Amino acid sequence: MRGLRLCAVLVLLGVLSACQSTSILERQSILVALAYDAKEDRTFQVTGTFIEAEPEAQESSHTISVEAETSKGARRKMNQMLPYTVAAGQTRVILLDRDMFRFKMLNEIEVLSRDPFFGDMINIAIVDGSPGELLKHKYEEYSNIATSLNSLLEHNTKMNWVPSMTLHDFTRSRGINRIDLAIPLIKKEEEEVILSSLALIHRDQIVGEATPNEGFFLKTLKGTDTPYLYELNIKKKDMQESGMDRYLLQDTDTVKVVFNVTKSKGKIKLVDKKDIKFNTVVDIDIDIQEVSQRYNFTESGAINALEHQLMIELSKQLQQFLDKLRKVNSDCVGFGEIYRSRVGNSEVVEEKWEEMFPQSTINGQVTIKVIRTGIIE
Amino acid sequence: MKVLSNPPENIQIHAYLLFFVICNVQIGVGIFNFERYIYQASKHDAWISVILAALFTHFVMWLIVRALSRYESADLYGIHYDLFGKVIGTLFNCIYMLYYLCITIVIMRNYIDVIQAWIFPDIPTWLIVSLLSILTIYAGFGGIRVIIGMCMLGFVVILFTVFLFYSSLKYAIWTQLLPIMESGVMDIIDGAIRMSFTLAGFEIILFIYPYIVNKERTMRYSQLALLFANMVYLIIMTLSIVYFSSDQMLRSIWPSINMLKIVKYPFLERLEFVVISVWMLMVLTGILINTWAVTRGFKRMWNLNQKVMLLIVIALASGITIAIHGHTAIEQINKWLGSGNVVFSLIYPIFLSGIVTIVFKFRGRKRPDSKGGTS
Repeated sequence: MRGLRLCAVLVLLGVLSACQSTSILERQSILVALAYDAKEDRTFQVTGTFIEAEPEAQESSHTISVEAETSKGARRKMNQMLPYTVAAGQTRVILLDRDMFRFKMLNEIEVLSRDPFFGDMINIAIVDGSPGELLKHKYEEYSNIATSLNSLLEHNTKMNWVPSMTLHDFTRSRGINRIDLAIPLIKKEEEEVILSSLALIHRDQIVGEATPNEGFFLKTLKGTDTPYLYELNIKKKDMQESGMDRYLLQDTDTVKVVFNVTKSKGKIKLVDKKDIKFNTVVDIDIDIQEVSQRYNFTESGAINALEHQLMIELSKQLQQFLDKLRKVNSDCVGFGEIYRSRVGNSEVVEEKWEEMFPQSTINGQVTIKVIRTGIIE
Repeated sequence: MKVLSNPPENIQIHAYLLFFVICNVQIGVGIFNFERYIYQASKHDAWISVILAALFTHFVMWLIVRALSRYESADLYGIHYDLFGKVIGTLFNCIYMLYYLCITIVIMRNYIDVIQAWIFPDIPTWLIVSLLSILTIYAGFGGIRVIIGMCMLGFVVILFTVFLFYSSLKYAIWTQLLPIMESGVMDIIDGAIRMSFTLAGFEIILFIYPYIVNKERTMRYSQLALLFANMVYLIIMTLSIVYFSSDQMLRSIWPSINMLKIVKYPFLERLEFVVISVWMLMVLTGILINTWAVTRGFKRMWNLNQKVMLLIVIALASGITIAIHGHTAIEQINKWLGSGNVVFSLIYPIFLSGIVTIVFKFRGRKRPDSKGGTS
């Protein structure tokens, strides 16, 4: 028995210290970004950006493009063009063009989550124009466009108005009718890449766009505390209701106010199940950063008047956004999910929500608390 | 065979170690995909099914320990002899041994399936089977105390893994748990029954009981272990409901591993690969305990050498494991064994406890006779 145990130890040492398959960093074509250009014949132009692991390589990344019918087909063709096997585990960004939605070809993106080597935290964005061209272009500003795009999406998702849109979010929302997608939209303007707005989706179709301010409301209503620098133009004639005009030290037609949202919380309440009526409240704490005209902060009532005026303005903007969502029938906030959770009858709600949502009533209200007015009064 | 089993003092264990053993047999490879099966039955009320199943296991455990405490120091093999006589007792013992052999095969094959799907698609089954077999032989030769030592290590793995699920909270949609009780009562009960495959294993106490030094504490630690395992399942089930859409949940083969795909640290990401690899320790403890229960049967009934029998049992289990091909076959076997679990882990212990109570009442005595059993 002792001999058998020794044998077992030796075999174990041999097997456990061996490699089933090796992946040497320098011998991998590390995929960082994938771009899909859809074609009318339901094929794709798939473009991939790879980082160079070899230290002597002249450029930090290179991009290749193939025509394919499926994602796996594209990968096979890329392997035929590259010196080393494609390693998909480091993929950070997937870019789609508008035609992917027009031709309803989004299943190809969803199937990526079947592959264990693709992570679920890959950022997804839509490109105005050709995503393939966006990756292929030689930029003066960016040494590696793929990693720059990832950083652009990451920091705007973490610290700004962009709601999270990872492969997991994408797959989850596509699986249910009562939460629609809102995907970041990227534009290439000469040598710059800009995160311009959000594409509102319904049933795999782009039905509208949301501005950064609306993105802030969306993200807050979805339950994420969103730091955001909000810019607002207030007309003098609109200030009478709050009495803000009384504290202006200079006569002017418009006042520009810039404030930093330090804390935000969205609440959605279903107030009428039968007529489908929601009340939404966005509570925010702000820090006034800039007022374009001299404003008498020292006088009592001045801050209250400003607070009140901002509430009126932001409530108006929130209401416009909510009306827009109903108009384009894109429930990216998830009112359908809230309705289902309160009313039950999940299967019927899931099936009928797209008809019910435009008929619903949603009231928006913003409440503001000015925490500080900067470091100068 | 004697009804009572009195292992030597040097291989006896303290009751608190039961906590680790039961946690390890209950939390095994089933943790990767149990959510899907329960969700199929009771949808977003699956968490209620988990609670229901958990309460039932606590009740069954109470019955088991109560039945065991009627004997001075007996295991299931001895109790069968005592209650049903030599022939039927041996038959029942053999059925249980066969059941544990099947469990060993299912644990091995399911884990290999995960390895092949997630990490090494082209690794041959025999290679992982050999690795697991050699490790089982090596640790199994050390006896029950080494196996329990492995269980303590396994507990650390469970804790480390459960904390990783914290990341999925960021993507939780809590309203997905509502409305409560939308699924029918029968669906919720169906979900609870499906939970049995995952919860099975705690009845291993029927075999370990004679090894416990302070038997009066058995109830406390076995119930605590169940509570811990059930809490782990409840947490993972609840997180899965709020993290996935219903469509994702029904289509994911291993939802728990999918949930770990989002864990990300600045210095490390894709932790699911680490978890799957480390989970081998959990799989190993499961195999070790189950094979120990089988070989213990050989020793008790026919006084055969446990080490030799371990080699034979492992060879048999490995052969059958290698012969099972494809995910569909594995799913089918899981389904069959799921029904077996309900019988062997839940229904039969209740039945056994009932018989023990009746027999002891009928005989009108609580203390065993000189042979260890009752007459």
